[in-house]
Amino acid sequence: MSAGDDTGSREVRPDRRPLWRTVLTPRWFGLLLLALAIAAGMSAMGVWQLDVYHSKTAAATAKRAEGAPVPLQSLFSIDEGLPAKAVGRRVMVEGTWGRPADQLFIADRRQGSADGFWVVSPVMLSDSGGAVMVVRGWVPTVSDPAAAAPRGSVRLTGAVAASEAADSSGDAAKGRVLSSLRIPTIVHLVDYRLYDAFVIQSSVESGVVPSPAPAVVPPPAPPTDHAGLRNIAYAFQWWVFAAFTLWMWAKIVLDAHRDPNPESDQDTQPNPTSPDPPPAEASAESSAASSVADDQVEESVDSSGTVSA
Amino acid sequence: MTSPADPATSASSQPVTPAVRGALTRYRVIAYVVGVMLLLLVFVAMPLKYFADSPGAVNVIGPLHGFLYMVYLLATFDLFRRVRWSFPRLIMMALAGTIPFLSFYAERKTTHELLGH
Repeated sequence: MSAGDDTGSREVRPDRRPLWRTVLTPRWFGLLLLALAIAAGMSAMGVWQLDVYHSKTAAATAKRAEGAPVPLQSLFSIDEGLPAKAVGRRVMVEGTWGRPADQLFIADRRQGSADGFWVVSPVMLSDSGGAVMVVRGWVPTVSDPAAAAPRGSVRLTGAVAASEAADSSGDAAKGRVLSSLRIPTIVHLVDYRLYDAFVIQSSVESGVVPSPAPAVVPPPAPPTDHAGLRNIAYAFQWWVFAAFTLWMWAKIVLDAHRDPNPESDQDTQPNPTSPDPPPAEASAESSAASSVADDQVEESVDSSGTVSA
Repeated sequence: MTSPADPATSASSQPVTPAVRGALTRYRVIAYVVGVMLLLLVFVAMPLKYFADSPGAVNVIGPLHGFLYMVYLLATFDLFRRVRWSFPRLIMMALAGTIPFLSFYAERKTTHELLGH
């Protein structure tokens, strides 16, 4: 179908004019403006679909952090790894505080403009025989009175957080102050099973509320919840359509430019079997085609493929 | 046009060369596929989404129809260049792929014009 395989018969045509003159004729220039307008509209539709994707994603991401708290055990079990869809969810944890000796600190944590530590304490879960590590809050120093480990039963709410990615394989040797929040490190420091997640405590619903209490740590931003991937596909399709519109214009103009006079080697032969009809007819067009501007679409859109294929 | 009486090209003065025939076949296949996809999208997937709150089918068929429609446009344009249709005809045939049932009609009409059956 390509127009590049034209036969040499067109090269000898005497009235060959530069491509830009073909483009600047009212017909093809007007069609160019039309194609540009359509392509611009299609591009705008693509941008609109991309916006839809962004707002859907933002809504889905926010919805995850806004849902009512559910029991941690209902999201996943202590035997599983942390599922991605649980990260950022608000959960309830019910149990008893673990041994004070199992309390940990995570160093180099900023709260506002101050450097300090996160206090991480295990809650022994009522039903599963294991524990979950709860980030109780922030203290300026390890010896701060608010860091004193609580005791007794507790019911608290918080947000699920995943282990940090930073490698801290040497952390286990450092005692009670670690440099990153990682279950793989902490699991070696306790002699019970641990949930593969942290709960960033937001409030204590029942149980002893220590006074003074560590400052509440804001929950980490929930991971982006990609919603509306269909709209991404639509956006790209609109842009492809926009490019296709311009490509069609170029193709049509090139066809017309190569062969403004269909009488030279046109394929208007009624013979359905011959792929290469000899030039014979279309005398009606030949007289009209002497004028520069009147190349009709029907004449000028040369189906070169029928000649060459 | 000096088209002698040729029963095979009843409504058209165009010759049906093998190249045109090939382009027509490609067009007919993709027109049929796009038409079926559009029917599935409009009459199955979209009711599922808006009445049964189950957007899964739209999420698959929607973009799929979009990409197949690109192929439809390519095939239509290819055929348009070979048989030298008028420009409005190209626009109408492109739009026919976006309206339920119309692509089937356009395909029948085009085939009839070019092949006479």
